[in-house]
Amino acid sequence: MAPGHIGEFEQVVLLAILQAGDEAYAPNIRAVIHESAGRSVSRGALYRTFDRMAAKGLLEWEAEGSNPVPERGGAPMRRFTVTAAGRRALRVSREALLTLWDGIEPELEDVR
Amino acid sequence: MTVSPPRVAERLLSLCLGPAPAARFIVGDLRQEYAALRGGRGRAIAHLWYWRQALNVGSRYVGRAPDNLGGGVGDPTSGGRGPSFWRDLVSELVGALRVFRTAPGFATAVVFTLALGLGANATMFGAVDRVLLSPPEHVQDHESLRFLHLSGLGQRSFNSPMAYSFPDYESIRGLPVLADAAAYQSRRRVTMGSGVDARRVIVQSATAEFFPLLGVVPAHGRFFDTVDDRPGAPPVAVLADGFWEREFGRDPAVIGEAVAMGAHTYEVIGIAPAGFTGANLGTVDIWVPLRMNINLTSSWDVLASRGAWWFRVIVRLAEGVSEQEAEARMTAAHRAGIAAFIETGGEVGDDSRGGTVNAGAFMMALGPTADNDTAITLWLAGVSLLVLLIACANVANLMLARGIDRQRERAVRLAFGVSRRRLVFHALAEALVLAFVGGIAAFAVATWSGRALYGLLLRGIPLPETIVDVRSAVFLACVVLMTTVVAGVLPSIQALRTDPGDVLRESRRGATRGGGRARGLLTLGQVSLSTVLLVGAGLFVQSLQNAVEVDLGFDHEAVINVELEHRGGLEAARRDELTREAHQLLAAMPGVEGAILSSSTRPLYGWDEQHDLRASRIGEVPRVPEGGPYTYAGTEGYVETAGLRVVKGRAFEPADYASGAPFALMVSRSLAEGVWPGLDPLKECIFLRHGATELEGPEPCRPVIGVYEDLMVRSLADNTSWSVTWPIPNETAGLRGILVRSDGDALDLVQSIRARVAALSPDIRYVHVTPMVARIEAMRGPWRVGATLFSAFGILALVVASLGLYSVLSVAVARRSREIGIRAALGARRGNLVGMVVTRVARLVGVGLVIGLGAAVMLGRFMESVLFGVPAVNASVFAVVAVVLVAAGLLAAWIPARRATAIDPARAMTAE
Repeated sequence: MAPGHIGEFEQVVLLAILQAGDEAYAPNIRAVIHESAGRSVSRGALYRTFDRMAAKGLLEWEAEGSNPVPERGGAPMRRFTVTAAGRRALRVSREALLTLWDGIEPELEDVR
Repeated sequence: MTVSPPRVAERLLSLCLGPAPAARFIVGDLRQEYAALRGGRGRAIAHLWYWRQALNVGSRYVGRAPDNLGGGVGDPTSGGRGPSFWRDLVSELVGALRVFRTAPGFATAVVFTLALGLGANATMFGAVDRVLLSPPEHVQDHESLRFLHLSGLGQRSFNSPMAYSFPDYESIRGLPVLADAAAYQSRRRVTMGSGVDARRVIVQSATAEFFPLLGVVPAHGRFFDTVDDRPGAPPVAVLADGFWEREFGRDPAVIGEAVAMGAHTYEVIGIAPAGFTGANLGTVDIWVPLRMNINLTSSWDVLASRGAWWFRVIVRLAEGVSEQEAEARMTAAHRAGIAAFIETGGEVGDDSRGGTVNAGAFMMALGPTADNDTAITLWLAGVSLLVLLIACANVANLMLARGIDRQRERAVRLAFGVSRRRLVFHALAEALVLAFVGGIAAFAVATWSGRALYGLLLRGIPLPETIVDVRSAVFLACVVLMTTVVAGVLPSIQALRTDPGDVLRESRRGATRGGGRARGLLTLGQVSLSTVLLVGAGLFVQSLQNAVEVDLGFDHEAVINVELEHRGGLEAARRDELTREAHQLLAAMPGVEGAILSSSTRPLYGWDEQHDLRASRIGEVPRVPEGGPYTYAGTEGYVETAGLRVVKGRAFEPADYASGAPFALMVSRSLAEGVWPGLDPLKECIFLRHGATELEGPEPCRPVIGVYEDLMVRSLADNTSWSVTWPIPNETAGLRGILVRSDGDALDLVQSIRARVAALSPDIRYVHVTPMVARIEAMRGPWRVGATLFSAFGILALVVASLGLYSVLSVAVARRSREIGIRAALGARRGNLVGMVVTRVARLVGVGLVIGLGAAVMLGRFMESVLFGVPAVNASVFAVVAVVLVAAGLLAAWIPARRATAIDPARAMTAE
């Protein structure tokens, strides 16, 4: 894959993080993916994807320990944010897609 | 309150996550979600969910380097938990679960084999342990208990422990070499309640010493003591736990209540602990004091009789007394007792003098001489051992195949610098996971098959609370672990010794080393053992077939015996009246074709032997060694109702049954041929009694008017049945049995006959209704058991062995794909390629068959005595087994063969 390009699932994850905004914690991100994209992702796969994307610099997280949730047994929460590189990658993907979509829309009218 | 997820799962997850920077967050996330789910859906569902997630997430992280380098606030303190050995092992274990996804066929085959092979064995070992190796429940310190046997007494059998008269017991009871001694009777069925509600319960009489001797204490109330256990004492009873539950719903208030059994009413004084069955294994419902009860139910003084050998005696040796010393003292006391009895004018047969008392070990007495269940158990154990061997061979085979398959993968990993320990761990973890899952499946199978076993084959023994006991579970766990781990880890250890480069080069050429010979031998073993089991199955199925088809000589399917059990103290005239009323009722009942009265309680059972028959020309009719001649007598319609088949002369006509009619009788074919060989039996006659009495005048010689086919009623293998049948008038006094012929299925009538007859009068306590088919079916029992047993295990073995064949062939084809590809490229026809696979099957099956059949011939000698009309060396059975095995072999070869022909030469050659 060319640099700057990201896979479809990675796009979905980045968009979900952006959608979740200040509430971009792992369970919420999974819920957004499920509700908006209609995809059920296993937690294991999602966590591994976070790791991989963090390694690629597409996203990052920070630990939120100041406001502990009792159900978590003292474990901090981590809030995800999309890095500048991640935003760039999204932009590139979107433009590539839009270019590809150009002029196609009317052709798909009758299969809606 | 904070709720915590399952600790083991969380620990496992943490181990898998290891030093990953995300670890703490993931654990926290899952905790949070767990808490929410638990609030909404409950603990069980939340637990289950958590386990799934822990395994899912854990398996994604396990064994992988933490590759998150960027971004986050990686917390360096979160990693490096625990010693790395355990972490490696646990993480490998979770990772090994992936085998179910990556190699589902292999994993399923292993689990399936373990489940069937070991599940069946767990049950069998449980049964063997229970029937042969363990004392009955609640019996304390069984090492010092002994069953007494008397020998040297002619008629009294060596083996039967039931050879004691009560005075025999009394004469040894107080000896100082014994800590205690108890006498008891074998179990009897007794009617409880009366009329329509009456049911049969199993009662055992025992002396007051019985319970203390065995060391058992009551669960409720008390056991009977010497005050209860004396002639004339008020009747009391102790209930078994199972009976208490069944009849009284475990109501403690039953103590002090009265239960009606037989002619008397007993006060319940105690409940035995759950699982207690006395000194033997068979079910008992109620215990009653022997000295009290025997006088209650007998019309003569059994306790004083030296001829009533009705009792079993069990003793506990005093501390420090050897068995020999006790035997010597008991023998002396026994002989002294008999001598004293003779001195006081008593008479004993010659065979009662000079008896020797033998003390048989408590467990031995439960052993092979004890009963049918023991023999069945031994057979089960033998057969299931074969299945265990087959299963182990198959698991080893599958594991080896997988290990060899992954040789190349291992070599690659080694070459990439994965540690050798890690490699062994990997194989070990997979073996452990498979053993664990297989073990659980085996446990499920064991529980299920245990119910079937006790329900079908060991019906006399109550179902134990735990079918798989700890001992057999541990034993089997060891077997499972040994098999899977050794076979699973060996290839990877072997790999450690080889240079990965060699392996890679070799596999490139399509050759792989090792394992082939071992696996071939394992498969051969499986085929041979399966052959033995299938031959056993064939022989028993044919025996059963013969037993079902054996001609009993009369049309028995519709015959039903009916016998009335009356209230105690009923006059003979009233009994006769009730029997006649029942007869009339039955004769007019819908579904009944005919009913007659008989002089015997169980006509056609071969119970009524008569040894003083005299026949014309030869005088006294000799005794038949197997039993007989038997005599049958019935009222009008007897021949038709019993279904006798007339082969010569004629059946009785109504006139023959009339009072004062001219005498007539019929004889069985073998009696006619045996007594008057070559003569016309219709010209002969038989005296029914020696001499004559003054009142009845001289006994006439009764002419034979007809000959009927021999009746096989005592045993299916008994083919000489001498019998004589004569007609009796309806008015005859003292007729006891009723014989009914149904016009449909006899079994359908049983309930309605019992209900209608029981409703006749409160004087009828119980109505015994026994269809002849039930009796015959019981005689077929041994062969049915054998056929069921061997068929079930034979099929199991066949399935497992086919799996083995399949795996061997699959691997062979996969490994030779390059060779096959080259051959195909060189123009080998598809047929030749299939032929290559088939040759391999043929070799394995052929050699396995020869070995197995050889073994079957050798084992056949031991089986001959338990078969019915089938020679143990049996060409037709052998042929069928051979066909079945070859068919199974071809089936197992089918997929590998197709795979071989589907190999694309170009791909096969460039694949590496």
